[in-house]
Amino acid sequence: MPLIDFIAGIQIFFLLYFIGINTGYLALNLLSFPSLKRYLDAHSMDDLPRGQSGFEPPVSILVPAYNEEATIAASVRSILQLEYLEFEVIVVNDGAKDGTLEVLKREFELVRFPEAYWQRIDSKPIRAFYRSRAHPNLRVIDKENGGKADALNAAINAARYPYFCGVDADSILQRDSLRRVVEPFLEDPLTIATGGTVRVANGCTVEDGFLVRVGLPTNPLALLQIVEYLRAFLFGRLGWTPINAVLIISGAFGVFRKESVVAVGGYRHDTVGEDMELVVRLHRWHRTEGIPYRIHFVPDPICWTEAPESLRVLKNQRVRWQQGLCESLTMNAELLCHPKGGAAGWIAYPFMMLFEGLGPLIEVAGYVFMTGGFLLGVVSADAFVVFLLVAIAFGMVLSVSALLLEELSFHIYTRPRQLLTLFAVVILENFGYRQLNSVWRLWGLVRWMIGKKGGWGTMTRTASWQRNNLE
Amino acid sequence: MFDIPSDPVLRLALWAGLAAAACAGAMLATIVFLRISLLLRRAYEARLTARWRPVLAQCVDNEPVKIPRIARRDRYFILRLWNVHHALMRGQVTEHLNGLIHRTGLAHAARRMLRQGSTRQRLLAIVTLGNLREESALNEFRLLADEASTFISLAAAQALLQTAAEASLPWLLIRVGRRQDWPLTRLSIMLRELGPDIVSVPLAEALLAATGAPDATVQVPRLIKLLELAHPSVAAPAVRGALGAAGENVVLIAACVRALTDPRDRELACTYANHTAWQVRVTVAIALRRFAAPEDRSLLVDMLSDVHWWVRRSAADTLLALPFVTIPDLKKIQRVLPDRYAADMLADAIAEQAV
Repeated sequence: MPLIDFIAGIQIFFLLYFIGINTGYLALNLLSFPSLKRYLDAHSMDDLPRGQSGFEPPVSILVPAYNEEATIAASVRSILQLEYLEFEVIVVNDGAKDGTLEVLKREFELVRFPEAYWQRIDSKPIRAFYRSRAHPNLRVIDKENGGKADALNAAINAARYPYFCGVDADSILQRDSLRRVVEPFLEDPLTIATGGTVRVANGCTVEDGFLVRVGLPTNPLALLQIVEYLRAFLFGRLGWTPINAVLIISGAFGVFRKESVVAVGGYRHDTVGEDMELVVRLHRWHRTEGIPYRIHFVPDPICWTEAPESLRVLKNQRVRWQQGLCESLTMNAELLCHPKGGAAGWIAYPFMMLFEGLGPLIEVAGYVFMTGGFLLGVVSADAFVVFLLVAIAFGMVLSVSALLLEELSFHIYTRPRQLLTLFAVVILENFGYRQLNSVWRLWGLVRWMIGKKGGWGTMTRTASWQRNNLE
Repeated sequence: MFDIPSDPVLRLALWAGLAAAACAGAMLATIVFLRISLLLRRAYEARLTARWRPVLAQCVDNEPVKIPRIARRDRYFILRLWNVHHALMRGQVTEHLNGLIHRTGLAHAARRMLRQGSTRQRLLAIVTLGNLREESALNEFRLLADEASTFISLAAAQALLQTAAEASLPWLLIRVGRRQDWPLTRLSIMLRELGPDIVSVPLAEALLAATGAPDATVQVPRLIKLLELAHPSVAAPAVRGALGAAGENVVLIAACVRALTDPRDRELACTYANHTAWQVRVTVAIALRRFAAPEDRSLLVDMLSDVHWWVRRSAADTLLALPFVTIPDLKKIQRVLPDRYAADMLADAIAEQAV
């Protein structure tokens, strides 16, 4: 009898957890709608011609690179073509083993340069500084390998401008990406960081480093990630903006006020989620010190990235993300329910810890328990069916609502066929893909628990957009 | 066959799941509906554009004689189209465009939108009435310029300046100092269009008034940045006045020293070269780039040994920019500099110029 009660209790726990987590996400979703409407209203007259005045803050664009010889030249060239009044580009060759530096030297006419380097944040020793003869606003730092965070710290030290923008070497931008993401700094002087929406580039056409046509990939894994990215950005981040509780700004494209980042010590080397960790630390520091600040999120699709197309690479990425998330939260545990923690400490942090951090453990345990219990006859068919219904139906609601947000705002997938494909994806992803993702994330959680160290994320790039370009 | 479970929690979960599934279905249907609406709207707007573009294009020469009938639902779109054209045109053409909008009755429609419309409609109405220089809307513009919404208030501020610049500027500049959500970028564009003859005196007066305000550290730097749009002869005394009233406030001193442009202020700038705050010292080096005399060379060389990197950097950049200091001069200085950091900085700056 007590065992039956225990099993019934566990069933109820899993059911309530699944309802709870999804209700939380739905609440975020509801917060996103007015945010997005306000944003779109504010930009409804943007197509009227308007000039520039010179008050846009100059920005240092930091590009950490490790073994990127295949794509680095195209990436830097596209960054140099951004429509922005004043910016410099600092590429950091983080001790690459391939010909990254040689490609840069050849393509951009680099010459060695006696830089008066100001080391405000620790980083591995610098081997040399280079400056481009062809592009006066391009500098390259050649340093010993220390990881992405270390490369970014070296670049921050070398940055000349008050704001810096971290860009992954494989990010594909739009010409107006920087102008859009910097807007919150112009409109709100308390802004210390902004991030933009990252979308999946697979299937798109890219010319001269810029995205010219949006398309859907044929690879099913990449297709599934499109809806994931919509969910993660359109309400996963936008929803937190009105309460100043955005805890993640993607390392692929985000702008920070340099002095704020230097004040908290720059990027940490001992985490694989250095981008999230920095943002959580900025929240913690500003909250505990009582310094007013804002972290904004720009919903415009401004950065495109290549999604993994093989299970192995995708698994590695998800494991790394989960490990990074757990590290970011535990490294800043002081923020959790801190008296001065505000929405970041009292809502976003516990939400992330319970639903994103520990979520995979409970989700996988739930699936295993309910399926195993049903097969062994200890969980009733009714309970099992209801559990599956809750897990799948709520998952579908979240994905469809992300698609709805997209349709209400940017509708970048213009062709009816694309929309129908995405409809299929939001339904099909609930049958296997999301569960698989939970397993990978659980593995990330385990890696965090056993304290496994990570390095540069090794991602096999197919760069199909580049192939399109060459054809 | 599946029966509704008797357990209340399971029953609740079942209904929640079914509700979620129904919700997902309803949202999918909404997306389809939105997409169809979007496609139909785009096609309709393309037809409207094809019909109205020639009419608007005729305004280049004259006010068009034949004007297509405007359905109520088309007003918003045509007003947008009209505003796009208006923003691209200058002089007599805008008068023709204004005449057109009055004749179509869209000016009245814009007034109604201003009072009763959605946020987007109000924004469009403000821009339209601003382009029309609608004096009867001045009071509404003022009320709207005080709204909390950044984009509504800023659009209203622009409409005020378009309609009655001289009368509105003093009133508006008080808000320019205070409203940190008004981006200086946009304000600068708006004020630049008016020209220095109109903006100089009100800006200088607003700056001097702001120096005594309790929130001077917020207002003064914002207004000083805009002062570059004023005649130097008006701006210089205003900056001097603000600097005199700055006391020991580092933010204010730095903002004022940075804005000194008159060569007669050279000595005044140099008095701050040894200020305890590096933020002030760096502005001295920057200001000297505009008006340093040959005798300031030693001061700038001393600044190369400043403890702060940015002061050293600015001093090196200034030395390089001075017409009476040559690269061989600087290399000579670099060789004899006792301080390694100073020599490194100068080497960096010289090399940068060579590249």
